[in-house]
Amino acid sequence: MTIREAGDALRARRISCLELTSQCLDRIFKLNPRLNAFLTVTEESARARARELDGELAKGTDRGPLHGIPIAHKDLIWTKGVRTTSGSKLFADFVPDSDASVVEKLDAAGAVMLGKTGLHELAYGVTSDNPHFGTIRNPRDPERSPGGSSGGSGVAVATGMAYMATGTDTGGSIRIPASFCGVAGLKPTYGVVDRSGIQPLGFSLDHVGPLAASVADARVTFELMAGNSRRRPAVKNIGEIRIGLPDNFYFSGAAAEVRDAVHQAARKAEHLGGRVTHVRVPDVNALNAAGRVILLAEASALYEPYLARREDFGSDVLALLDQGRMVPAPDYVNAQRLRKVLLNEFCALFESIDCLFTPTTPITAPRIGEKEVELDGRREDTRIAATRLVRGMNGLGFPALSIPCGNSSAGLPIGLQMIGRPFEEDLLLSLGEALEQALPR
Amino acid sequence: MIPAIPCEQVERLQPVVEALLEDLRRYTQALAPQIDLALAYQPAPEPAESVS
Repeated sequence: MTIREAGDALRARRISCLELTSQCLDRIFKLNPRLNAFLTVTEESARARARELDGELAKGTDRGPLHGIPIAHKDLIWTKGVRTTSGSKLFADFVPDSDASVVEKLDAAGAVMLGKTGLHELAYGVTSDNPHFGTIRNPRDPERSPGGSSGGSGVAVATGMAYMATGTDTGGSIRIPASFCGVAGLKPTYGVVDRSGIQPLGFSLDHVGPLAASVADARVTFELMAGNSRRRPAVKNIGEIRIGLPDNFYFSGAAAEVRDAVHQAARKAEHLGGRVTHVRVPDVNALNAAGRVILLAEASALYEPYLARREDFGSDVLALLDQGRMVPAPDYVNAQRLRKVLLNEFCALFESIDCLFTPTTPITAPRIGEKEVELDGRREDTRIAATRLVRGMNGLGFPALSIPCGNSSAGLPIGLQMIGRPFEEDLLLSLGEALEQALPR
Repeated sequence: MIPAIPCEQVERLQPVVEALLEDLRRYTQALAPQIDLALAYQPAPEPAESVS
């Protein structure tokens, strides 16, 4: 059931907010022991809030499309009075005294918070294999990773434990779990959704956005999360949308099944009226190098006060924090300058297209603990492979939406990434909504 | 006082960082003519036109 369908059922009195919430809680209690998507379940407050919202509806107060809809928040997003660990031993007992801006907005819109979803430690990684709070598992195959860092949010919406879940994305952390779990995930334009009250990682690159079972559900929640921030409305007709299909970078080194599924999605978009043209993209390898250097330096600067507590970090995160301390200041500054050059080049590309179609990840979900994957006969670090096609848009701040576009022969989801111009989330969401009806799931 | 990174960790990680920085420096050099001499820190892209 989508958020709209649930809302229709609520307003027709076919179901109550409390019953919707109970259904989600039942799924959590059934599935979470195996999948570990939730770190904290706020059962009591969720039921109390649902009763309150039922009372409002009975009195004729309707807060809109999210009224009574059960949702979850990634556990680095501050929730007043509810533990917020950031997936880290450092913050294992941290209880915020205020809500993050997005929590306030979704709460005011009538959402029912079910709890907090697990993540890669400090959101600094893509496996969600967390040494402090356990491994999060992919619902399609529990021996595989759900991706990360917003792994718990991806699993929660893929399994119907929640209708939507918030995520953050510094190097692909919304889009990678969306791709690996077969759900929709939107990384909005940099700054469009307020990050206050969210544990940072790399201030130049951090974004917050929704993960949901469908694009329509992602749209409903994104619009509430973004509030009145400036955005450009979509063109009305899909036939007016110019879609760029990259001839370089994005498809080389991607698994054959992934390449085929994304090309098939482009053909579907063409059947819907979109105008597909082949393009050459600027140097994304350069953009990725700049993004990695920026993130290493910014994350290490952020966690410098905690670096004496080496035993409190997982080995992979500690290695990245140590690497960040080895980045000289001139290289950090030059990475920022390089980013500006590539921003100009991408802006020039987007004068001739409205969006770019690429795979979200060149691979489907890897096995838990798999450090390297094989692509085109070449071994590649799993983290580098998973972030290769998504990291660039964190550096540029362009919006990017991942939607499922088919399955591999092993039955694992494949993600299509649609990249748009700044402030044009609406165009991506409109095209995504039209496409998801036409694409296999 | 932040403790020094243990030697064995430095030995293991330094080549990884150096490889990344070499890449970055190569790209920076290749694009040098386009790189603004000013410190070009601009986290958010500017829209081409004003929108509501």
